[in-house]
Amino acid sequence: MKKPCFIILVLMLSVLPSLSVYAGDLVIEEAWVRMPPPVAETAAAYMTLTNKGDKLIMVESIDSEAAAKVEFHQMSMSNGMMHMAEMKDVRLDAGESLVFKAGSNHLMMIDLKDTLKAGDKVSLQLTTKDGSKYQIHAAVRDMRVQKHEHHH
Amino acid sequence: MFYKSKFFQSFFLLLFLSSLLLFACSKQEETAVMIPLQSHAGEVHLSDFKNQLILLSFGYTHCPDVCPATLLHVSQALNLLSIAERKKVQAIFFSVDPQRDTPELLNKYVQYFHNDMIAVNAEGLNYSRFLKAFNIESQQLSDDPNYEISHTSYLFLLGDDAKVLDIMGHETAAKFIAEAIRKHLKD
Repeated sequence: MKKPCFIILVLMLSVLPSLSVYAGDLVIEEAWVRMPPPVAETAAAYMTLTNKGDKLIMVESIDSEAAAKVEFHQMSMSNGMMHMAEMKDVRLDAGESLVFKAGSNHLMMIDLKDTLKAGDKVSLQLTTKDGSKYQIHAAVRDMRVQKHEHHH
Repeated sequence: MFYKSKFFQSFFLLLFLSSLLLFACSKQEETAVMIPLQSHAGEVHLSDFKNQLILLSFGYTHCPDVCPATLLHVSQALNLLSIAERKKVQAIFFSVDPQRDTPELLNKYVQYFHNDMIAVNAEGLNYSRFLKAFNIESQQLSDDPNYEISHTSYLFLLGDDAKVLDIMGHETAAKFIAEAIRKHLKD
């Protein structure tokens, strides 16, 4: 292979992680962060985790430079009362997906270091029990901006 | 014999205290509109909003997901109303976390969602009386500085004397909140 081609290939590959977060059997999609109000010290992050492999995947940890701590939270309702609990065991069987979405289970970013503005990219790093690391790029979205409704 | 009279003494004391408590509790509901609440602009009461409906929600600023989503729905609902209709409604956010949510902080928080919204807190007995008046439960989950609070997340639409006209789930979409407001503006 000629050298220029090789350099281009390397450059293309280096761009890949920002387009897709596939780095193993765990696929992380639709990652985004709810833009927090100016005084808020926490923010919610959302994403879908899918185990595309044929073995159980256990999440060891998730962290971000944007927050002191990031936790997976399980939301449940009983008699109109909302309960939040940290999910100590985030595990995905082969083929299983876990959805973290608004008004449901979500990730809580605790003690934000900086103000998060719409359009900012937040990096998160997820580590699985087998030591694989996944880099996640989540865009900050201002939910006050109304999305246009599309009729199909 | 001594023990027996002691027993009766404590029994009557307990009876007296519980009847006092019962009396106080029934009194609480009547005076929900008079409970002093703190806003960034000073003390307010639900009774201050005469001839206005009140859209009351409960939450706290450290709540990352549900509280901002609920306030977003409330602000979108306000925007769906005409200016004339909007003048007849006051959206109030009550903090279940007075320890961390000062009135100044709360004001900045709700202003992010809508300029017409106000936020209040209350402390001590006023706090528990206000929650009790609307049957709201709140529970601090740990002693960690980043503690979370489980709380009832209903939205209340209140009429005169804080009479409950409608109770909505926190996930109620803006257009349904606006519809509920319009329905009661007509009545």
